Amino acid sequence: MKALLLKEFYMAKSYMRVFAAMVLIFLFASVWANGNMFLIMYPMIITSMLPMSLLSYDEKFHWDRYCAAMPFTRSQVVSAKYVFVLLSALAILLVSAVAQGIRLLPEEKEAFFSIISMLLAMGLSGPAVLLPIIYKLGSERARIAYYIVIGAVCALAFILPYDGISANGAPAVSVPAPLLICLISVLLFAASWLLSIRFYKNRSL
Amino acid sequence: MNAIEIRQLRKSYPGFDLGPLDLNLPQGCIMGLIGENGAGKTTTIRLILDMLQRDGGSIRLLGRGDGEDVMLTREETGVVLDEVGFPECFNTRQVNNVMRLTYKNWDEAAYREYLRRFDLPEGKQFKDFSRGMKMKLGIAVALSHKPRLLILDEPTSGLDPVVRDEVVELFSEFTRDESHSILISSHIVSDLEKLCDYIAFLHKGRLLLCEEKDLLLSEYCILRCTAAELNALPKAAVKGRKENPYGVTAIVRRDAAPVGANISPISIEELFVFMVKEA
Repeated sequence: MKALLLKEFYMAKSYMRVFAAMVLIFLFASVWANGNMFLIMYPMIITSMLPMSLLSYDEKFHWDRYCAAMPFTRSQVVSAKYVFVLLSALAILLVSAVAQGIRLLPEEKEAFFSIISMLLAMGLSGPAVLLPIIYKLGSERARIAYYIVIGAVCALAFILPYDGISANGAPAVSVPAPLLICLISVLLFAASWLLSIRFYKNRSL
Repeated sequence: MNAIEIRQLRKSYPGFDLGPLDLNLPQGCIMGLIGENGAGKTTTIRLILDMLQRDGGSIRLLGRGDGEDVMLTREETGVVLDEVGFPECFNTRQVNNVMRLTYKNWDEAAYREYLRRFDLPEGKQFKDFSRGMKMKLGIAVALSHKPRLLILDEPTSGLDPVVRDEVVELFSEFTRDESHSILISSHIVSDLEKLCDYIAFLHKGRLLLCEEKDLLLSEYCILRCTAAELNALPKAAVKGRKENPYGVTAIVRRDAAPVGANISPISIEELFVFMVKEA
């Protein structure tokens, strides 16, 4: 699987440079923009959509067929994508945690944990919903689902509930049971992983 | 041991049925799979590589059947498909780095030697390669992990005659080791005629024949005669015919041709064209 992860890394490095720059800009802006949820969530939204873009590149370049002849199981091919999702989400989560920690800690601990749990949910849920659809149908036929999920996630970032204004003047975000949200996201991700493996094992290449 | 054993292989699509196919590639030999566009060559190869689910039959590669040491078989099988599937952003260095982690027997020195031999630049991205260069890179990768079996789908397509000749020579060198075998599909029959020990003709999903090349060339000949003279021969001896204003040109079994008849040697390409038209 190291080979597959290295391949994902090379592709992300090459095709996602503009997105990487946008992520950094939004991360920076989210520290100074007084709790604008869209700015906070957008880096994770972009990052969570990355594996789907990489998967469609795999199909475009016929890498999926080519690597079917290599000593990888189909489980490993799928798992590499999911591991990449996890690593990407955790990287953005870490950087966002630092950015939001600068803004919110130590006074707004509740808001901080709410935001972190929402970021984790966002980072895992988009791929959890989309990846099985793409593995089942192929990226071309799954495109409509892709745009629906992006739209839904962006809309969510705009309409998240506010609980009032915090001490430092930023809107205080209160998300019910952040730990539960994290747990549900992780379970959804795990179920999606298994489903994708099952779909891909039966797919003709 | 046979490098490839196919028994009663079948696959159906709407409007196309492949098989049932029976085919053996003896170890140490090269088999050419010839067929017109849409004959089923690529489908056969994708079935062999388990990219498609077959509707029936069995396939054994390097003596191993379904589920037996699949990863070991893939380690020992080098594959070149009609489209070399590297991401376009890769360069040859990155290909090396990924392949080194993919194959246990990856030979970096051999890979660099093939790059040098094929004159492939190191830092250039795959998307800037010509079709021929992409194919050469695919061949370099297929040969660089010490495979025992090569499965090649139109590997010389898009290559200029000089490079095709070089690549054909390379495949020939590969099978000097008696444990090495090649299955190569192509519609450039002249390349296969130079290279192959066995020839399999595929037409509309059916195997018209699978025979030793030298046997085919010695068994059949081109006969030029009148229609009446041709009709006098046993039907089973005539594999194909073409009528023209001056008479008939036919592919016949050499032993069935009348003494003193106007016969000439046949090429694999002519044999295939005649058989397809007859079919």
